[in-house]
Amino acid sequence: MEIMRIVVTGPVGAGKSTFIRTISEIETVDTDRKATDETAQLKPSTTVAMDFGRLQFSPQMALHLYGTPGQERFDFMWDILIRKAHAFILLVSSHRPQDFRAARRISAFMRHRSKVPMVIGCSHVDRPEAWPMEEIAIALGYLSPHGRPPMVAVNALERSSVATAIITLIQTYAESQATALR
Amino acid sequence: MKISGYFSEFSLGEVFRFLEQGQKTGCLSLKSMDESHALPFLPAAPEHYLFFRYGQIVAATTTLNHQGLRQLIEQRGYLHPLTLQRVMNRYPGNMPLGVFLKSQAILDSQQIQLLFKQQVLTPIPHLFAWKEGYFHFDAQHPLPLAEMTGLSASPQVITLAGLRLLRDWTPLMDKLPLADSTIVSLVNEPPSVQLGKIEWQVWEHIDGTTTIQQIAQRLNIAVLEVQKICFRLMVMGMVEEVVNISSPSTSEPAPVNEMDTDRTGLSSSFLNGIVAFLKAKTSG
Ligand SMILES: Nc1nc2c(ncn2[C@@H]2O[C@H](COP(=O)(O)OP(=O)(O)OP(=O)(O)O)[C@@H](O)[C@H]2O)c(=O)[nH]1
Ligand SMILES: [Mg+2]
Repeated sequence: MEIMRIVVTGPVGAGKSTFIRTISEIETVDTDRKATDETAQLKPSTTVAMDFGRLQFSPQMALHLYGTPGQERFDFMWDILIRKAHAFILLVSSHRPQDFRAARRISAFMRHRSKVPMVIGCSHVDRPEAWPMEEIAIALGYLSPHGRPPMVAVNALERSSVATAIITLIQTYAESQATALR
Repeated sequence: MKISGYFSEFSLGEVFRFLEQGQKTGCLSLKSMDESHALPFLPAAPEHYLFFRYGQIVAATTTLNHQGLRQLIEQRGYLHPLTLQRVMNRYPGNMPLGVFLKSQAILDSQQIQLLFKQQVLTPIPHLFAWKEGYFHFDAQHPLPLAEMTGLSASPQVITLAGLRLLRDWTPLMDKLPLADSTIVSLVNEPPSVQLGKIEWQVWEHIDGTTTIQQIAQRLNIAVLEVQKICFRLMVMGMVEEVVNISSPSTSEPAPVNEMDTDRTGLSSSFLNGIVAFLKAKTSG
């Protein structure tokens, strides 16, 4: 059995659970709980453990999707991420500049601590307050398109959009594998 | 382009970094949302406008009537109002007013510098004391040449000055780097800005492996102080924070070893298969 493990991460409410739910063919394990304190003002429920989703596309091949919990905590989960994930997608809500700091932390962490290929998915692009993708890149510290991870606009509620984002991620992974072989 | 938000979410230093690094041109409007907007050194006004040209600050005003620089010239007594009126009638408006006045030998370089200091360098750092404010950046806004001296200031330098003046850090506490994070330099050369003694000592300890806590220990200063200095360096775009994985068993941050992986490469038939499968899902 060949399995690709993809981690979906990002700040609270970026759409991680929705992303996984939209594409997964199994009922996703729902670990959302009523949100407390600060998060509650933002959304009624938040993910407290990992989300999990699966796409079995042949008897011998599957894609596993793991979603990190909302709260920004760099604990053992990140250890797992770095050791086991083949690739990861960082979701950022385009309309919430207050989340760019947390997203920046995650991307800096991955850039320095791991070589796992990544793609940045800008979610909530359909909102009127959404920042343009190019500006989000700068706010995350990617000043030139050179050497920046691929960026895609994602609507986590739409299956085709999620599928497109995952395809970009897989292509990024394939390229990094080809580079590593050279 | 829609770039707006609140200081509590995206602080002024972060806005400045964004505009400087993105080399933006346009108008940044700032509206105070607390009582502290009546600060000494800062003109009392409901709104402040900062004009950026390729990421550098070229003018600051409190109205959009193009009269600000003229008023400063009058205030300083450089020219009699009537003389100024006559001069303004000759001003073609196709270059910064300061450049025009200098080219006509009406004002000298030093006077222009003092005007810029009064317009930008002295007041703007005080904006960092606002506890809450709303910002909006308009890249379509034309630059007001009549408000411009022809000089510019780096937002980096203003940020450093502003954060040094800052007494109440409460609104920034949630934005400071974490005590057990490592700080990594983003620049190869030592900073071109003038750092203070302790700032310099902290900078010297930034080697990509030492955590904020360790720097504080070595320098024997409070962790919070190092966090603040590192925040300054961060919003100046000189360093970045890399968090460490907190392991519950030890107080030392767990080092992550990339070799320590149990991930195996995926076959190309697998990758082709999954892409084909997903492509089918992108339609309908
Ligand atoms: N308009 C819009 N809404 C979205 C998008 N993605 C997610 N949402 C909505 O945003 C809300 C938050 O989505 P979640 O999937 O719970 O976000 P999350 O990242 O799992 O949140 P935490 O687990 O709390 O970190 C839900 O109401 C989603 O329906 C998007 O791209 N556009
Ligand atoms: Mg979730």
